[in-house]
Amino acid sequence: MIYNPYDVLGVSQAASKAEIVKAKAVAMKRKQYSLDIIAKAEKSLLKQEERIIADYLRPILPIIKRFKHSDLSALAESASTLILLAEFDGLEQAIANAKQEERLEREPLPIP
Amino acid sequence: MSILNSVNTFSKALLGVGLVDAWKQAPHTKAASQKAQRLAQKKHILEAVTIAEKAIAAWSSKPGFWERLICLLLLGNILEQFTKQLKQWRRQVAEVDKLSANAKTLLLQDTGNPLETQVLSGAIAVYRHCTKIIHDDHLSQAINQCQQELQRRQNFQRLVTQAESQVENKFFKTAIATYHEAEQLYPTESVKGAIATCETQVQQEEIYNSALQTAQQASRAGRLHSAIALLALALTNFKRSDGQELLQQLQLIVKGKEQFPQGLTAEKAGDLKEATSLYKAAQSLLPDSTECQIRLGLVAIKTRNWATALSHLESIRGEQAAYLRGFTYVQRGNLQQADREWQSLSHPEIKSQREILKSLSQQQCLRLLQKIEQLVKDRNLASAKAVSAEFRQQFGFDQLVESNLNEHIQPCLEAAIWQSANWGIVADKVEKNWISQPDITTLHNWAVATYYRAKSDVLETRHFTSLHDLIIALSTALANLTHDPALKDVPWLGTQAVDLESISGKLKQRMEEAIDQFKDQDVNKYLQLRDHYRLEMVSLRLMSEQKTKGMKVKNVCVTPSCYNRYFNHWRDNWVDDIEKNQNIFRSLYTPWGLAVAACLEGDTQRAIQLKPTVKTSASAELFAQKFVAYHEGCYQLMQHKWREAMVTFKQASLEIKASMIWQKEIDRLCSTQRQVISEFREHLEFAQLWYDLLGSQPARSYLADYRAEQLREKLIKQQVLLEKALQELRDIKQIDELNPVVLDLIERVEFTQEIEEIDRLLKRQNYEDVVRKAKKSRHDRVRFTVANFFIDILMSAVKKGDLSNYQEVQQVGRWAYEICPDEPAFQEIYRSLRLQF
Repeated sequence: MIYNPYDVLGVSQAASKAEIVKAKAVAMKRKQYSLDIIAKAEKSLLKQEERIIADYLRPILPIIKRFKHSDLSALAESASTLILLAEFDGLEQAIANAKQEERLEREPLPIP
Repeated sequence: MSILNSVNTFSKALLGVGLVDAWKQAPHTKAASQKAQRLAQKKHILEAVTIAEKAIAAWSSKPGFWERLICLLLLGNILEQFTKQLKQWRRQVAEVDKLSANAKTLLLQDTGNPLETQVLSGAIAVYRHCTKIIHDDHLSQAINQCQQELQRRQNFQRLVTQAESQVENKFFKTAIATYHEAEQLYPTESVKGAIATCETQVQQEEIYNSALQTAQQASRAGRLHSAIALLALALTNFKRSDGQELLQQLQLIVKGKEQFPQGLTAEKAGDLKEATSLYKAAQSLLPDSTECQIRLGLVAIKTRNWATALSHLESIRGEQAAYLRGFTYVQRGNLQQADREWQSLSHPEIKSQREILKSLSQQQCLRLLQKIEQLVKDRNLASAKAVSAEFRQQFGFDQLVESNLNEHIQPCLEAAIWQSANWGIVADKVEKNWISQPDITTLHNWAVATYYRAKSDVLETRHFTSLHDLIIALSTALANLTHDPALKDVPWLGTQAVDLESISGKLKQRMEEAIDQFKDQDVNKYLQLRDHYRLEMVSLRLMSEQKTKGMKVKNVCVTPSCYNRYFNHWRDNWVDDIEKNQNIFRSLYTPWGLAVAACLEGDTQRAIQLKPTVKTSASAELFAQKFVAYHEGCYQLMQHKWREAMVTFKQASLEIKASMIWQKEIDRLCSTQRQVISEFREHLEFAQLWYDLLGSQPARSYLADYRAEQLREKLIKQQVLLEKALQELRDIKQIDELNPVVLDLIERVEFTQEIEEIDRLLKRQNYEDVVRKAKKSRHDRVRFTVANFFIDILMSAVKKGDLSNYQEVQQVGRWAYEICPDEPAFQEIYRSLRLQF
């Protein structure tokens, strides 16, 4: 069988024989698997030496815990914006400096 | 006069040479020859010539016949060789003298001109050639002198050339200093003239230097136009390269400084494209382009070209550049990098900017959390995992994000894989987990996935591969069954213990059933699967029987097939948990494992097919090779192919000698083999090989029997002498000390040998020796036979009534008595002859 009997019948490893028999009926109604597969799954789980094999042939998976949500209320508040500080643009200052430099360039040499 | 003097005088008179003188001189000549040769080898030719001349002068220059003969006897051809060498050395001395004279003649031609070096170089070359032939201190001195003079002239030439170059470049004051330096070496007229010429230019140069210096100061002070005007004027009267270069540089700076303000104007006017173009032009002209780069960065920020802005601002020092870089990083979402840029800035506004940054960072953090939540809600878990990783990269470790990732997202992803029931994908995925993190859980999941994959692949082409994977995975899982968490706390079992052996047995049975399905499809593939299954089962059995763990990776026991499959993946993690004496178990992990397992399970025929053909040197493989060889040999013996078996056994001879069990088995099989051999020669050949291999008692006995039998045949056919046969029998006895056949034959041969000897003595009527020989014999039969012979003679005489010589009769009886005094059959005769004492 290419499916684990527990998965076919949709029962947990703790299921009692009565629960297994009941699950067979549910599985037949669900029609996810063929009747033959469901019957074999029931037979496997009702026989102790077969059922332990079914237990063994289940993957060991980590327990899935509940997802924890964060407080996102702050997102509703208006977000701050960052504007370039004019002091660090310095265009006016640069123009003033350039003019001063130009004046200096043209100054005559002091007479010794 | 002593005898020696007499001999010397006499020989001088008779032979023309004093024998004693020659005898005394010879060793001196030999020593002189050796010393001269040693000196010549070190090129001390002159000393060698002196020694040679002195030594050779002690002998006649024109020796007579006898003198030549005596010289030849005392010195061999040393004197002749020595004379030849002297001639050669004299030739060398003459050649050096000639060359030396040539060098001197050459030096006489030198006029002392400091610009002329050819004559000196030529003389040095000639002298150097001389030193290759002969060692002479005078030659070395001459070379040294010439070299010193040559060096001086070369220095002078270098200084003059340097000064000329300085004059050419109009550095007259520097040139004068260089010329003065040259003048110290050779105060020539041309140097003095050059100095005088330079001095005429010094005034002009000083005016130029002053102007240049003033221009440099003006340019540093920013008065670029004045500096250019001053420099241009100075260069009209005195053109020099340094002034021209400075002028060109200043002109470019002026041009650049014109472009930059134009860029500022364009930027202010909002024409950012024009501004960029002008700033780039200025950047290419100005030696310090920092301001241009900052403006280019600002223009890029204003046009929202963040990457371009960063490329312009990169590695520029100062607060402005750091602020602009930080601002750019904020725009690109890299808030951490922005904060790093701003944390050292002192501007008062930065504090509030960093507060905004913090607020933006919190917003960004919350948006990522919101994104993860939304992705989880949409069941897009793979993306949720990726965004969680992105969150960690941006904001570091966060407890909530990590626990959501590890306890919800990742488990959901793993469960989703199994829910797909696409066993191919599941098996590949969990095998990757097993390889990256080998532990009992990943191993269990890999075994389960391969189990269902093998089940679902029944009609697929890859069924063989999936079954092979199942054998490896499930066997390794079974090796670790006691630690498997899947079988801990099984809820429906309550307090009842899990029967691990039963589970193991059932799973093995299922594997066998799956393999058996292949029997009718493809026999070769079926056999391959059986081989691997057998190897794994044998390993599991040995692990269980010998309480050994085998090879391990991170506390997980690994079966041989699994070990070979993942050897390279876990190269540094293997733990060898096999006892040193467990050679067979260890050999299962080698490429010989399949063959060894087949041998252990009694399928030697298959083992022979499975054994590797490549040679090996590893100890475990060598043992495996010998183990298989032993079993192959046994198999061949069972097939009665004893010749092949013996060749095969030889491969494992040391191991066979070390194992009593193997020896017993070989003895048993050889004993069976012996029964089916009919040819005598084959018996002999087989017995010899068996004996060579084991040397066991059955082999010894067998070989000794047949070799003795072979010798018996030769004796019967008289193909061997008794003496030789006896020697050979003693050799055979070494093989099997107590062999009855050999001992009996030795007895017989010795008896025959003694009887023949006694017969020869009798024929010579040497009765005394016959009696002595018979008495000494250790064979009763010999003694009885000889004694009986005498008794027969005696009885014959009695019968004939010929007792005329009673003494002779009594002597015959006495001989018999001496040989066999206690023989009951003769006692009556002894008594009648009164021989008893």
